[in-house]
Amino acid sequence: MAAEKKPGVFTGPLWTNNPVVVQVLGICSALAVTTQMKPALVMGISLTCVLAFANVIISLLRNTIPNRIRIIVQLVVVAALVILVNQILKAYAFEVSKQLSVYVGLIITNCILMGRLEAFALGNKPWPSLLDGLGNGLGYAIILFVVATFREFFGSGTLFGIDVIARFVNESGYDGYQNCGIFVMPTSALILLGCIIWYLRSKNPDLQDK
Amino acid sequence: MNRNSNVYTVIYATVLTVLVAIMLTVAALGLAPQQKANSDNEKKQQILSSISSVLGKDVTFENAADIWSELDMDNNMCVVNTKGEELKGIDAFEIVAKQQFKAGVVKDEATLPLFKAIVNGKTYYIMALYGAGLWDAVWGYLSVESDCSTIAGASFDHASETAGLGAKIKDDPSFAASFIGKHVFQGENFAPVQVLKQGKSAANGADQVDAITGATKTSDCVSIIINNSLTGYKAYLLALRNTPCESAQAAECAACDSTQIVEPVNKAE
Repeated sequence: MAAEKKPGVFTGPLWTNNPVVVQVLGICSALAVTTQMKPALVMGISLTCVLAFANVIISLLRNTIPNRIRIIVQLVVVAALVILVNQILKAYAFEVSKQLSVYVGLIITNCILMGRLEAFALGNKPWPSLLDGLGNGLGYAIILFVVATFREFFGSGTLFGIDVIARFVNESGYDGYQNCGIFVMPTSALILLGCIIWYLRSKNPDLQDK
Repeated sequence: MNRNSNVYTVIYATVLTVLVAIMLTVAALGLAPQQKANSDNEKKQQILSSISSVLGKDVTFENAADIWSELDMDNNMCVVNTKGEELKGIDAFEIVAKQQFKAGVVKDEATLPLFKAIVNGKTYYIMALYGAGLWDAVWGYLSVESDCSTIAGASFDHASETAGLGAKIKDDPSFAASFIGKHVFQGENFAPVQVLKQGKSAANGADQVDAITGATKTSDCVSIIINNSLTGYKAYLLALRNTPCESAQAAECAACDSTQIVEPVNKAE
């Protein structure tokens, strides 16, 4: 991974080295905030911002951080950024912040963050670190968004809160349609993630276990 | 400089902590007014949602403040205690419902907010509900017509009821709507509406609404919350029921003025 060239630093995590479906990090929030698309999108953006900033800050500080407390320093930087994001959401995106509830705070414990800071930002210059942060954040956001799209469509019959199925059903005059309840439950996120991993691995021989 | 020395480590940690603390303090103080405005607005939305059927429209986060000022709610709220007296000098809107309850029961010394909405010349009394759900707190508002018994609507919110099941008390508008037209009093007896499984009926003859399928526990909790919360208002409601409006402390009770015409009609029913 350390030998990756610059383009790979950004594009790699988007798909072939995706933090969620390949490295299987950050699963907790992927299950929790994907019942609807809007919170999933905001969560993805929030994590991308936090990760990009944290990566740059840690990268700038990398030559000054005392080795013995480096994890604590990373944690402080991440926690400060997360609190900032949470405060801003509460002030300017109140309803979304309510839907995300504790999960914004839990960005702190998201494995992707500590993983990238420890594995990449501590040993690389700010620019590649920024790209790495953006790439991993967006990689996470894409998966969340895909899962949330399926869950919201089949679980609630809506997309971004807009009643898609009900509208279609009303026009066709058929009134026996029921939403699929399991898509509202976290189980479905796990199944969907499993399907994505399955698809990804079948397309990418490199990822298959020998 | 030696990056691994103790002195360097301690100084580094101290400086970092102070910097971060200053940054967060500035952010928190700077954003506080906006955050307070948001949570106030949400509270207004919840309060007004309990009379949304009377208003004839949904109360959203966006239009809550407008409806609130249209109804002049700021001047139409009061604080009552469990003895049925109105209290002075307390801002009803700022009362935290949670602090008025102990173990799910209204404290004897509780101060309870009462909101009076006057819509189309009719007065609706909105009372706060609070209590424990299946997992965490459940709260809401219940409005009654000027006879102090007929329910005009309800709104519920919760901290963490199960999504798709218990969370329906908030997410499924038909649940809150099913309270409309039910009663708090049966004749002269205090018997608030209960949430029961279909086919069951209340022992004390109270009205009932259907429990949410698959969320029996949360439904039971709502039933208990309504009973316990309204117990705190019972004395006030009884006093209001038994006092002809003309002789009530009309000056104190701003809402009474406009209901003088309506009130006797309802009494006659």
